[in-house]
Amino acid sequence: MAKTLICEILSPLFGLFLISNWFIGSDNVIRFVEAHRPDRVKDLQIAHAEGQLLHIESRSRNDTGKPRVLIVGSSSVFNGVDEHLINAMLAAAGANFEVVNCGLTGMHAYELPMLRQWLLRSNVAGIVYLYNYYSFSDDLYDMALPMRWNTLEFARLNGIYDLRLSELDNLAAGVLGESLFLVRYRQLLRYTAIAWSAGHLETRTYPYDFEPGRARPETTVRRTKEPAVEEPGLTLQDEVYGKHDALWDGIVARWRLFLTPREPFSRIRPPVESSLSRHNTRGYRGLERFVELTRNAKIQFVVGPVPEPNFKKFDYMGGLPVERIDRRIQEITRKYGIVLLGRSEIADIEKKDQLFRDPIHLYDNGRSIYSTYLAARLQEVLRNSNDADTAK
Amino acid sequence: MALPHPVLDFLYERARRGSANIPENNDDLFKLRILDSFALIEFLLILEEHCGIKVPDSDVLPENFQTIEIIDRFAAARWAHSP
Amino acid sequence: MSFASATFFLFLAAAITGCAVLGRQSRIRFLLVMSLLFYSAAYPPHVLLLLTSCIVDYWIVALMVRTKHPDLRRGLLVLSLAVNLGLLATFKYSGFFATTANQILAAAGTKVTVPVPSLLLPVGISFYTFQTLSYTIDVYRGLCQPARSFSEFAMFVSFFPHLAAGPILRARDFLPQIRGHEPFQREQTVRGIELMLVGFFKKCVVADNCAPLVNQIFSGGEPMSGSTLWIGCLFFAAQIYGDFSGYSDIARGLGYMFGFRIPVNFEWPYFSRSMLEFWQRWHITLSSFIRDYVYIPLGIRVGRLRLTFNVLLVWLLCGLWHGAAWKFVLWGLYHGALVVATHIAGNRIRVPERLRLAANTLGMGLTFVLVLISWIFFRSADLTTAWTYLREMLYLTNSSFFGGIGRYKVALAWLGLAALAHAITYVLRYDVDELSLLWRLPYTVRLVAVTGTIAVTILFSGQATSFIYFQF
Repeated sequence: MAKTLICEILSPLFGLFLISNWFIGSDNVIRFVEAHRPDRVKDLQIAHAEGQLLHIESRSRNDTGKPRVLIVGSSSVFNGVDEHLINAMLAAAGANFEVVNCGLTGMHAYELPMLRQWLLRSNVAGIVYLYNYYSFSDDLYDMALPMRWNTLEFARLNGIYDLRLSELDNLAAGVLGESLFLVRYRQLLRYTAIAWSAGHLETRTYPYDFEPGRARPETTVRRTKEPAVEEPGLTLQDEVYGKHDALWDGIVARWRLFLTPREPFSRIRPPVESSLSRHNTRGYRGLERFVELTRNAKIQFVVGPVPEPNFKKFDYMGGLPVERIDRRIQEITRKYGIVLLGRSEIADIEKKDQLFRDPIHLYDNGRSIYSTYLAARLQEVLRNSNDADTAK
Repeated sequence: MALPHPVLDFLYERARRGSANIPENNDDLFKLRILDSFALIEFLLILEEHCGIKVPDSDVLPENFQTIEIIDRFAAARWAHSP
Repeated sequence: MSFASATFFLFLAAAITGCAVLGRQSRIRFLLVMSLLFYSAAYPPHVLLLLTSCIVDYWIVALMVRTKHPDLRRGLLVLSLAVNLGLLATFKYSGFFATTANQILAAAGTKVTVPVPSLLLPVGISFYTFQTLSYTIDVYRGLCQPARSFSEFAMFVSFFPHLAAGPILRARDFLPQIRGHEPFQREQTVRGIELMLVGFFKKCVVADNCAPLVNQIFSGGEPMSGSTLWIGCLFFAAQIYGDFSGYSDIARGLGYMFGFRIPVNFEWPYFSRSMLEFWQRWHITLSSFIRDYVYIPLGIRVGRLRLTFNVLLVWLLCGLWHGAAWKFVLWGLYHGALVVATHIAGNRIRVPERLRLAANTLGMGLTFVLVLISWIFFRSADLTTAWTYLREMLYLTNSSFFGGIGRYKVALAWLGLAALAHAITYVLRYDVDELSLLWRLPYTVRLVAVTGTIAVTILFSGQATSFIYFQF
């Protein structure tokens, strides 16, 4: 029996590990795949998201010798931060670090510690996390689960309070994807192999979801009267956390949560509501955990909101008291003594509809303005930090 | 008791029509598609007529007609018990 | 829990580890617990339903063997049938019956309505119900010894490889295996791995890659030309075969690995020369179950008219088994009528030996086309949609019949390649129970082949879809 298990079951699995991680996950293959990753409009969302992560993995493997500052966040960051512009401005100012755009579509704050293997590298001097209002939701982002994953961090972040039966498949895929490059980037590799064999592989020519220079979609929203404040309702997680001291009610609440399928992340209002629900949502816990990790790795951590247009509150976010989210982040940054880039600093950007292409993403002009702002702020923040270190 | 030729001929003809090999004594006749739900009806009539037996409905089970050897034993047992 | 999911691989790792370290008796109980855990991944409360079915039938049989009184034995059998079929009817058909009753009442002009229950259908209920019934009936007939313990019986019913979508096991074949099984015998494990590789390839690469195309063609979003619908049928034929036979192969492969022989369920059905032969090659365990427990007991020594009625009734029930909807009823009757027609034609037409090859080829082609047509009923949302599609497909003289098929050229080429590979395996096939190409290879070659196939399957798998037959 032992010989059968070793020869016929374990050996092929080991072989698979070698093929996946040593051959397919080699630098040459990564470079090739990364250079041809699909854009968002090809309706290959998962392959596209995997491509974004592969870009980060690829950059993390290639050390240019300069200390790095990683800008992390959702597609708002992916499309809203021009790292070339920032690096040019920083170089002109004599700064000795380079900025890398690590935006990931739909990224939530709970994913920060899950991305530790790519973010907390020895050549990283600083990490800037730019959050959306939805970033601190309790809910897991289903598309990201299999790839943006770290088993131990997930186990640490989540107790039995938060698990749902409908998520088990994705969690298991994450565990496999963590070990196997082939599983982690499966859709992307599949797309690449099929497109290459059909002669349709295209080199990626721009780093964003939307081709620069294309006409801006009409986004100006008619301002109606200010929407009435609408308190978000209780979520199932709120019930679980509220009843965890009561034995029977707590068990019933957890069982109900376990059996209730979670809605896919297709509307942004529910995760915003979730971000408003409690102080200790999965998102806030993820952020605090990541603060600890950056401290341990001696990496400077900066937090700030990413610009979101004011017209959102006349649209899907109408009535929600989202300023509470900003206040919660202020509490966390004060608690840990980390730098917060305030929303007031980007208020001018947020009130101009023409700088946005939709309620989430900056347009080309908005990206330039925001990146210029970031370049100036990063110089200040990181210079002050260096001075403080020197003074010590 | 060896099965009479007409009984075997029926099975061999079914095999030929279905492009199957001539069945050996232990070949599963249902698996080889020599016997099926319809053919079983015809086969029963031929078996009863040429073996001089009566197969009660309760014995019309595929298990009793699985292979030539089983059919042979079954027919012999029925014949031994017939009045 | 689907086989083609990461959860399953972690589950399987745990199951293999447990079986490797435990002794035989503990292993049975461990496999039972793991099987119930497997089942609970769909919806945990339904495990109670499964256990209820097991408990009821185990104790009915225990009482049955203790009594010699024929009326009491028959009464216990009837009780088992009532409980099991009652559960099946409640969970699977109550909504359908209520909806149909309301339609009839509305047509009759009354305002009376029957409440339509909305119960979550337990995964695999149609399969495990048939299995527990086969146990009770076989013990009643004296064809099977009763299980020695409840855990043994429950293991037979709930053994995870076959629980959700078959093959349908017979207690008389499986229970003796439980007593003597030895897992991880080398040759059996290699056979099992081979079957699983084939099964995963069929399911993940063939079926799951056909699914988006099938969904697009049958989405109802835009009207499709007749030829496009035929193409959709082709892809659906590949999808349902890859899905269902793939699942059966994986189930058999897992069975081999754990020391059990699970029966063959598919034998290259698309190469059948008649509808009768199709049902001897497609879902073999279902057709043999219906033959042994429904068709033959209805009486086969009856007149032609009665026999035809019996066949159509059996096929109606078979259609209904596949789903609680009128389209499945019609699908079943369609197949039943064709089976009767095949039998009549077979009796009336004698093909000369020199024309047998041509007749077989023609028969294969015609049977395949008839099966494709039947899949329209299976795949369509309802009868009305199915009729609409069928009209388009059969309106061959429509000027727009060939509209829009250009975009499927590449997909058809891939399908053709898959069909060619399938045809080669048909020509080269061994006795399917003895399929063991991997065992014949030197170890190093086998290792490379297995590893490479796993990598290719992972890479080229389509977007995971649930197994089609899980809904039954």
